[in-house]
This record gives sequence, structure tokens and C-alpha cells, in this order.
Amino acid sequence: MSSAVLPFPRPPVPAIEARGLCLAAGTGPARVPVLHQADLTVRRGERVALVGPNGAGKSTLLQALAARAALAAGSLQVLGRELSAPWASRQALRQFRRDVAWVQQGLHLQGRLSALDNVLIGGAARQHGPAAWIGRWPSDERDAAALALARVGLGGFARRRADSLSGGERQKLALARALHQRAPLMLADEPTAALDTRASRQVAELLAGLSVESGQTLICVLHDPSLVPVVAERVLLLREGRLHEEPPSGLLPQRPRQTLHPWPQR
Amino acid sequence: MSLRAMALAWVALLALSLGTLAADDDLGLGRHPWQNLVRTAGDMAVPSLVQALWGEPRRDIRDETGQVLRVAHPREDEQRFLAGMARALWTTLRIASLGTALAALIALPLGLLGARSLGAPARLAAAARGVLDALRAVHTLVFGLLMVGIVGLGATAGLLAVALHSAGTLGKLLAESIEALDRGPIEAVEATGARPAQVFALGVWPAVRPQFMGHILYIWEFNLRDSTILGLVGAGGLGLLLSEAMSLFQWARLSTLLLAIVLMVTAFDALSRQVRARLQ
Repeated sequence: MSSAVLPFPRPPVPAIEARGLCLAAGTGPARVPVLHQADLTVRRGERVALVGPNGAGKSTLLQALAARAALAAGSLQVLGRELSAPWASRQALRQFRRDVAWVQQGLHLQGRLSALDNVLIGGAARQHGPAAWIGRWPSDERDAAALALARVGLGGFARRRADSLSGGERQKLALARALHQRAPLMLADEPTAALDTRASRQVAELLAGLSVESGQTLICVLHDPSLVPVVAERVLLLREGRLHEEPPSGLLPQRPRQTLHPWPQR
Repeated sequence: MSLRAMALAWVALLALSLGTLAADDDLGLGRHPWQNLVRTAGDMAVPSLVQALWGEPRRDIRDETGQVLRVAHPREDEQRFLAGMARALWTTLRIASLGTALAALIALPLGLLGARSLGAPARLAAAARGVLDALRAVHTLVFGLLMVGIVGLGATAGLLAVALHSAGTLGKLLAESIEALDRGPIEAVEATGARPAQVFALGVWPAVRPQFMGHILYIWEFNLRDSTILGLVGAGGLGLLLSEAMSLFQWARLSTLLLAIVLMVTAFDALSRQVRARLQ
């Protein structure tokens, strides 16, 4: 039997493909199911907003997508890797993590390091050898990290210690670190929670623009309905263990609400 | 065991200790405690330092016929003692400093292996923790005795003794600091696909380094105090002068020695506190 040669290139693997996926949040007896028998396909480059009430399991779903939470049942493929199976090697897991940028709700910055050093951590997996451990990064990495800082509007904060930044600035910094990772998949858990209206909109536009220009797949948990159409071309509603597909223009306002500014805008 | 039961057990232990000591008649204060206290205080009231500054330059010691038997030079003698004390202080400072630095070098690998959250192989981690516990359990003076037997009298024995005991304490403190770190930032570094060495260098070390430095300073202070008695077992420094002064009942010199120790330790504590405050 001769080896079969496919006549056509294979269709690109979707970024995310879930079949019969069940997830549970918490540990031990406090474990509660949050997702039941869900099927989901997200194409590469797609921008998806994940919405739903508090405690619906949005963060748990992101954790599962980042290979941080165990699956209760079903199959989940992210970037072509099956997450229900154990990892072939630690290296394979590291390679996967490198391909998934993940802005967590807790941000988890290195408070004692400068903003720039925090961003540089995003590119750690690209570095080999001990020079990067002691804070000596190649100049092209430093330039790229400075650019990521500038893109989130923290251009002037490179040398400031992360723990001296405000809540909103920290959120932008965590985002810059994720941008600097240059991963094909970006998971963002409420990336605008600590931001004012204008900064939220800037960050939302930045995330969407980045996805459009680099083909990055984006899964973004959002609470502010006015940002959903800015970020996403597709909306998933997670409620009572089910994933519902919602049209972006469905129950959500088509245009962002007019925001009232008590002081004149520049 | 509940907290209340533990508190009761503690009180019971105290009562038992006091009761048995009293039953053995081991709780006495001696025959003339107040007299002895007053005498000791009187003997120590004028430190030999005063003699070194204003003592008689020359005193002839004669027999009953007026013949000069010997000429004493109290001021010069005490000045010589002060110079010797300065050298001993310097030795003590060197023992404490080098010993603490060596302790940090020993503690670093052992502490990293022993920290449960860093995921060293279980047997290696248990071994490292065992070594740290054993080092901490043995007093510096006991290590001093052992080291004098091995490397001979002198400062080397002292600094090795300081290093061995302090390595146990520092390693334990380092392991506990690492275990107490917030996991979030460490996992965030992991989540970028960084290798384990990078996770340590970029996630663990920046967070734990100031604490480790603070602990080193604290143990350094502690070792300065500990090193002042190491000379008692022949391991160099002030202790030798202390034991000499006590054996020869030279209370004035003992008084000078204690003054010098208090000054040195207080000055170092103040300095160390300032540095530790800036580590935050």
C-alpha cells in the first residue's frame, strides 16, 4: 500500500475545537460544574467575546484553554493540541504555553521589577542561555518590549517599578507583557476591568487591531457590553453550563453608549 | 491536639519544671546574693578604660624595708590591654562577617532544594531539609569545639562554626520565604512558556531576594553577638579575653570588654536596621 498523498492542502486546523467539553470549577467537595457538553469551534484569527454572569465559569474556561485546568470530560483541541491527553513532554507543554498569551484577572506582575522588565518576561521563551536570567536581554527584545509598552500607553513608564503603578496602569502592563509574547492565541480575562471609559476603549481597539493585523486569535472575557462590538466579531454567552452563540448585534447595543464627560474633552 | 490542650500542656510543663527544681533545692540564690551583687557591681563600676586614660604611669612595689621589688606601669598595661581588645574586636567582626557570608553560600543551594514549592526531587528535598535542621540544631559553640579539634585554634575554626550553624537558619528562612511567595506571578512567568531556570530567575528570585538579603543582615547581627563568646572555646576573637578576665577576677577589664561588646553590637544593629529598611 503506497503512502497516500493528499491532493489538496489540509484545511487549516481551527484555533479551538471542543467536543462534548465538560468543565468544573473549584477543588474537592466545593467543585461545581460550569460547562456541560459544549461544542465549540473558533477559527484562527477569529475575535470572540465571552460574556456571562459572575460565576458562570468564564475564567475556568480560559484556564482550560490555557491548559491550567483539568477537563472533566470531552475533548478540547487548542492550536492543534489535544488537552484531554497528558503532555508528551515538559517541552511540549512549554511550547504550548509559549503559543498562548494569557492575561489573567489577577495580572500577577513582578512588583519589584521595572515595567520594561515585566514586559520582557513575555518573551522569555524566545531566549536561550543564562544572559536573560540576570536581566541582560538582547537589544531587539528590549526595543520590542518598549514598543509593546508604548502601544498600551505606558511609553513613559519603562523604568518605573511595577508595584508603583496604579491599578489601570498595571492592567495595561499585564497586557503589554502578553502582547510581547507574540502568541498566535490571546486569552484575556476582563482586560479592561480597572480602566476608565476612554482607556477601556483604547485597549479594546488595540486588542482587536492586533488580531486583525497579525492574525492572532482572541478570546476576551468582557463585562462592558459597549466594548463587545469593538473587540469581537462573535459573541459567546456562557450561562448555566451552556455556551450560547449570540449575534454581536443581538441583545447588545449596536453602538457604544454616548458617555458623559463632566469635563470638556481635549 | 487542640490549641487549648496545647496551652494546658505548656502550663503543666512550667509547673513541673518549677516544682521539680524547687524539690531538688536547685532554685536557691546562693548564700549572700545581695552582698555578692553589690560587690560585683562595685568591682565592675570602674572599667579598666579609666586606668588606661588617667591611671598612674608608674607605681613602685616595695618590700617592708623600702626596697623596690618591681615597677608596675598600670596606665601602659591597660593601654596595651585596650590595643589587644581592639585586635580581638576586629577578629570577632571578621569571624562574624566571613562566617555569615559563607553561611549564605551554603544556605542558598540547600534552601532552594528544601523549598517545597520549587519542586526539587522529593528525596533530595528531604535530604536538604534534614541537613538544614541538623545544622540549626547544633549550637555555634559546639561547632566551635568541633572545628577547633579539626582545624586547630584560631579564627578559621570560629568562622566555620558560625557558617555551619547559620547556614541551617538561613537555609530554613530562605526555604520558608520561597514557600510563602504568591504563586500567581510565578505561574504567570510559567504561562509564557519559560523554562524552569527562567521561572526561577524571573519569577522567584526577584521576589525572594530582598527577603534573603534581610535575613542575611539579621543573622549577621546575631553572629556578631555569638562570635564574642567563640573565643571561650579557642575559636578566636573576644571570648578569649572574656574568659581570661573572668578567670583572673579582673572585673575592671571585664567591664571594659562588656562595654565594647555592647557598643559594637548596638552600632551594628542600628546600621543593619537602616539597610534592611531600604530593602523593602
